[in-house]
Amino acid sequence: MDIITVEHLKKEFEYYRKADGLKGSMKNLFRRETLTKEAVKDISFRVKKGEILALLGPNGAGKTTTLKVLSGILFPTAGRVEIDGFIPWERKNAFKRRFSIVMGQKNQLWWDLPASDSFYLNKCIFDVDDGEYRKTVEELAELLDVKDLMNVQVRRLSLGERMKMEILASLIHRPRILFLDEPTIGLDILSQQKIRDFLRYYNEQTKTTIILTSHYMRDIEELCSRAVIINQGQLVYDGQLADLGHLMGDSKLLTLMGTRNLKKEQLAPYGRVRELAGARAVLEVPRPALKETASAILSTLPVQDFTVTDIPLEESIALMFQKEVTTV
Amino acid sequence: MEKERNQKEKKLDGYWAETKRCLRLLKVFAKVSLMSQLEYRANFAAGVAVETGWMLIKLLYVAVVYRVGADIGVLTPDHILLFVGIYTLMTGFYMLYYGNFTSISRMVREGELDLYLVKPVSLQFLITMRRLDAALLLPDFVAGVIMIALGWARAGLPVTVVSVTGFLFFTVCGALLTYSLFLLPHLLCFWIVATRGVAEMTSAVWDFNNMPQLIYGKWMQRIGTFLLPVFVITNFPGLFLMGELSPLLMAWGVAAPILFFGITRIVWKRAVRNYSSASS
Amino acid sequence: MNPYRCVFQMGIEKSLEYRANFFLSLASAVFPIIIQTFLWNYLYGNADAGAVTGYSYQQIIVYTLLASMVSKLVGAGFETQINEDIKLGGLNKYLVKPVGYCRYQFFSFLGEKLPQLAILLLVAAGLVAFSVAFLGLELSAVRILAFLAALVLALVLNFFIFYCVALLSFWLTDVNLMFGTISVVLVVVSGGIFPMDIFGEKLAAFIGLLPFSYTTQFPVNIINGKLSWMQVGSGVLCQVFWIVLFGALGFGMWKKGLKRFAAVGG
Repeated sequence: MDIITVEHLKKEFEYYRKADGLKGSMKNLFRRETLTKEAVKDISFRVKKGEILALLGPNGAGKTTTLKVLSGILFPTAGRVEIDGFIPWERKNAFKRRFSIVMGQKNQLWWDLPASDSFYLNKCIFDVDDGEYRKTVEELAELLDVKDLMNVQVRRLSLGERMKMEILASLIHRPRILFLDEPTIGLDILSQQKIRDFLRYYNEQTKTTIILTSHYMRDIEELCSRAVIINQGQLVYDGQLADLGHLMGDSKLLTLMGTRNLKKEQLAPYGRVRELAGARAVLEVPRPALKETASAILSTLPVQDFTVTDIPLEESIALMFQKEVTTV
Repeated sequence: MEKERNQKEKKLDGYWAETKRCLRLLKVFAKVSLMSQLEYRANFAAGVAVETGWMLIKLLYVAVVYRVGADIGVLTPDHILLFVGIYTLMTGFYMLYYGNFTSISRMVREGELDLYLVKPVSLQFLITMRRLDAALLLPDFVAGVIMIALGWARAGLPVTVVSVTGFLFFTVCGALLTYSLFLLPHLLCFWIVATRGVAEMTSAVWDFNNMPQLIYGKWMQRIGTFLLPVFVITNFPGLFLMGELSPLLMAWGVAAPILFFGITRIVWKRAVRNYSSASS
Repeated sequence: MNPYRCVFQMGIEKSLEYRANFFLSLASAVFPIIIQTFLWNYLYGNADAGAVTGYSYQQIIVYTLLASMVSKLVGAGFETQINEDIKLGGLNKYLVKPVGYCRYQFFSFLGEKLPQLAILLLVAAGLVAFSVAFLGLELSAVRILAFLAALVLALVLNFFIFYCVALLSFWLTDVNLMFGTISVVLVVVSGGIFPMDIFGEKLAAFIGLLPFSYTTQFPVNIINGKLSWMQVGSGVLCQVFWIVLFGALGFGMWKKGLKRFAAVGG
């Protein structure tokens, strides 16, 4: 059963341009030039109840705008959206009680107070009854491992702890649908993992439908089976994540630190050399061969240290487009 | 017919329930705001100090009046003290939530409004009553009450059930009117970017009440009473006490807060619609 | 381009960028004038106010018309910026540049002032013309020149006063919380609302010993003809004296403060 339906969504907005310098300021004093930008051009997709969907795309692709339209914050210029029987931008209170949105770069917690006070405020705003509220907070605090932090002022919490609190605050009213815009942005690896584990568990237990945008491929690989990719306001892919990995090229980046300067011809047999500067080199290596390549390099080349990272999402997507263009 | 009436009643019940919920929330906001302010005692003290500084200016007007000691018919320096007292008290009430008005422009610019748009409570209520600043209320409240009591006693105005009740009633009406009337200019920030000037302008208009309306010209009194009813806010309680408020004006004193609240609601809804259509 | 000229132009741009603010804040300056004019009309109409205040009706009205303009003209507003520079270490970016911080602030202050200055002076000229035409104010070219000279000195004096207040941030980290109160109190004692010498001789004498009345009350009382030429002359000398004193104070505070800034590690 589809809980979210989006059809031909389009969103435009206007902005001003200021010419440089004193002259520009003077001109602006009297007349401003208005420009229109299409943030979202024509997007359609559906989400089933209990599904976790990844919304991917480079910066400025329209991910956040799409999420804002789905939450009723913005009116679309055209198109149809239906969520759990509601049209978001009618902003019915009944609708607002069914979903929650967490934006990684905005916080709704009161900065100078312990998070528990903000939870209480949300309890009052969402009219949650006392018993249910206590139960929810206790349970979620346990799961998120923040029980001991409930009485610490938010400004004293680490970024990761704060994000856990944000997520907790957004779940006080037990929404059926959860929108997460970059929930792990800027967090350390451990916090990212904790939040991922929580979201997966929570989704399994409660069958809450989740739409997630993220920069980190790990977030998406671990949580989602399906991805929707947006580029320049247009939908370019909707399908299984497994197929996507294949499309994007299944490679990893191997960063090497040599004991002395490395040479290109030494490295070339192991993979594509992306960067080479003195003793530091970055190699692109196919994932299946990663282990053998790494050990081969360590045993034959003067390398003292290495790290493995993903190809940045933006780059993989850009890569994918290039491939598509070339194959079509 | 029957069905229609039922629906109407249901709608009214809905409004009542919503109002009750807002009042409950207001209590929570007051508590949370105070707790968060007390986290920074220096800021709290600074708030008191700034407001006391502004009060100095109000007192300066009173000092001038007493120094010169002019006295015509109905208005003695003691009456003026009473009016300045009401003005000071009203300023305190206004300052309690004023910070929310000025932060609307920031919330629009930085998109913080988004977080409140998804909450199932009146957005206008959430945005305008979120933070309550007791530090600013405190000095104005204390000084205002003292000035009112002093002016009332020295001017020899009656202390009866009717006079006290009427005075309090029009004070409450004035406080309600303040909210609507002075929220309106701040809503401009949904359309234009810079609003520091708007804030300055509105507080300048507010300062007209630093003196009782009786010292202004006839035409100005009319504008300030009916067109842009700032005088209604602080003058009506005092005028009522002096027996200078005609029945017509009394009716206006009750109607104006309701009328302007209605206007505020309409403009607010348009403003938010504009926000949702024009931003990304 | 000369760096200070560049800063000066950036200040102008900044204040034009917020066009609505600019005009509205100008308009807002008119309201207190209206309120006070009505107050004086009322007081002079119903009592022998002139005997108490020492100002003739004409003088007090001209004072009212011009005091808030002058107060706005000389008004500072950069103290929060300096406080942030010191507190958050933004000062470093000036220290590595070949510009003097005090001069930088001064020209940026002037630049931000200039569009206002032009219009405020225009308004002030209009008000003076009005006073001459309708209030029977007698004015000579020398008096206007004396007023303009006193105004320039007032602007410089006020800059240095607020510069010193702002530099307190080297020692008192939370002083920015007091800036609002300080500037309100200073506007009052400068005579920006009412002339302070109407409240009796003792207060007037006391205020005369402080530097603040030389930023607002003094220039205004030149143009409304309250001061004799003797008083104008001695007043200008006082202005110069206070400028030198606060200039030196600012210089000393900057030197000492900077040492402290470097020691604390900014």
